[in-house]
Formats: sequence, structure tokens, C-alpha cells
Amino acid sequence: MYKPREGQWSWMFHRISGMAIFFFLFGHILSTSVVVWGPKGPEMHEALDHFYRLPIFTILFHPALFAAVLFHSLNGIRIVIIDWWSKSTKAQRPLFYAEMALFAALMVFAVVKMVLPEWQHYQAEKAALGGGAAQAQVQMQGGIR
Amino acid sequence: MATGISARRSRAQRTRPTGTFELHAWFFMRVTGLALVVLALTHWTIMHFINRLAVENSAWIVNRYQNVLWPTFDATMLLFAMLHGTNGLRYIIDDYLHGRTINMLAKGLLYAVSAIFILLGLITIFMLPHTKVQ
Repeated sequence: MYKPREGQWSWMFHRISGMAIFFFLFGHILSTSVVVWGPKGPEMHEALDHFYRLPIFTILFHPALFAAVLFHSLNGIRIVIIDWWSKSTKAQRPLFYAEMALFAALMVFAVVKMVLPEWQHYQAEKAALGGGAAQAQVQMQGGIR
Repeated sequence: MATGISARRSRAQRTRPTGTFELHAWFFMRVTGLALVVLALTHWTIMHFINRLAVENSAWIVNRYQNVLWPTFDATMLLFAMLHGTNGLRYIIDDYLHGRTINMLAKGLLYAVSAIFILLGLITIFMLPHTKVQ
């Protein structure tokens, strides 16, 4: 069976992450534009702000989007290096592993800087709501599931 | 099998522009790509690492836009990202949609939708500094 190697994986992820970012852009432009939709715009934008602070966005979607942007950036830099510096073609595999190491390090940084504070925010909110309310929330989540 | 693939390839290639367009497109992707690494990661650092989402309400973003640097920054990023993405998707359409009609329809739709969203983004950027909050 044919097994793709580093070069083909990076090519595939570059495509997938590129398309994901491009499709996200449409949603990003549309939801930001809400703020200038007449006098009610800022109010409607505020409602969207609250929606985007749901854990599904701050804990899941934002790190996933950042991973796509970061991979596409680092892999793009590798492509430019290989295109414009012919000697680096021989080092394309080590370059790929260097890219992956940098990707992993920056992802850890992103999670600590971006996801952890949001997680702590939810925990603090839950604690402030008190035992009874937290219980009700857990039951609600169970009900949805 | 081999002739089938080459026949499909040549049909798709006939719909491609000739001359130096593809060379310029390749160069454009490299230049805008490198610029976007700086622009998008700066944007992300400001919006998600330095500031918390909780403070970024309508008043905050309108206030941020009072400095002309940020509308300019965002307009550049918007144009580069949309054109880079549009051209990237054009490559993908050429790779997978070989039929002449479907290829043209897909690209036509792509260019139309991209143009609308570039316009919507630019209108937002130009109106935002003058938006009244509350």
C-alpha cells in the first residue's frame, strides 16, 4: 500500500488548514460587520460577543483555529525557504520536523495564554453561582446529552 | 486509464489563463503569505493573548479604531487574506473540478462571493470609527 511521507502530509494539512481559515474568514467578516448595521448594530454585536464566549468557542474552536493559522504560517515559511533557497531542498525533511517542534511549542504557549484563563473564568463563575446552581447546570448539560 | 487522466488534465488546463499570470500568482502567494504571517499573528496576539475577550466589546473596538493605524492594518490584512485565500481555492478547484462547465461555475461563484465579502469587510472597516455606541 502507498504510504504518504512528510512532504505529502504537510501538503495535505496546508490545503485543509488553508480552506478552514478561508471559510472562517467569511464568518468573521460577517459577524464583525454586525456592529455597523444601523443604530442597533453595537447592541446586536454585544449579543454575538456573549455567544462567542461559550466554552465551545474559547476551549475548542479558538485553539483549533489558532492551530490552523499557526500550521499554515510555519509551513508557508518552509515552502518559501525551499522555493527561494535551493540548497534547503536537501534539508526539507529536517525542516519539517523543526517546523513541527516550533508548532508544538507555540501551541503550548497559546493554550496557557488563551485557553487556561478562560477555563479559570468558567470555574470561578461556577463557584460564584454556588452549589445549587452548579448542580442545576450539570443537570442541564446531562439533559442536552 | 493513463489517457483518461491526461485527457481530463488537458481540459482543465485549457480553462487556465496563459502567459505570465501563473508566475505572478505564484509570486503573489509568497509575498502575501509572508506578510500575512506577520499581520495575522499580530492580530491574534492583540485580540487573544494581550487582551481578554471579555473586554473586547463594541465600545472597545470602536475606540481602538480611532487610531488610523488599526483600520489601515485591518484593511491590508483583509485584502491580503481574501485574495490569498481566493487564489488558493482557485488552485484547489483546478485540481479537483476538471469539467469545463463545473470548473467555470465554481470559479465564478468563488470570485463573486469573495468580492462581496471584501466589500462588506471594507465597508465595516470604514464605518466602524464613526459608529456610535450606546
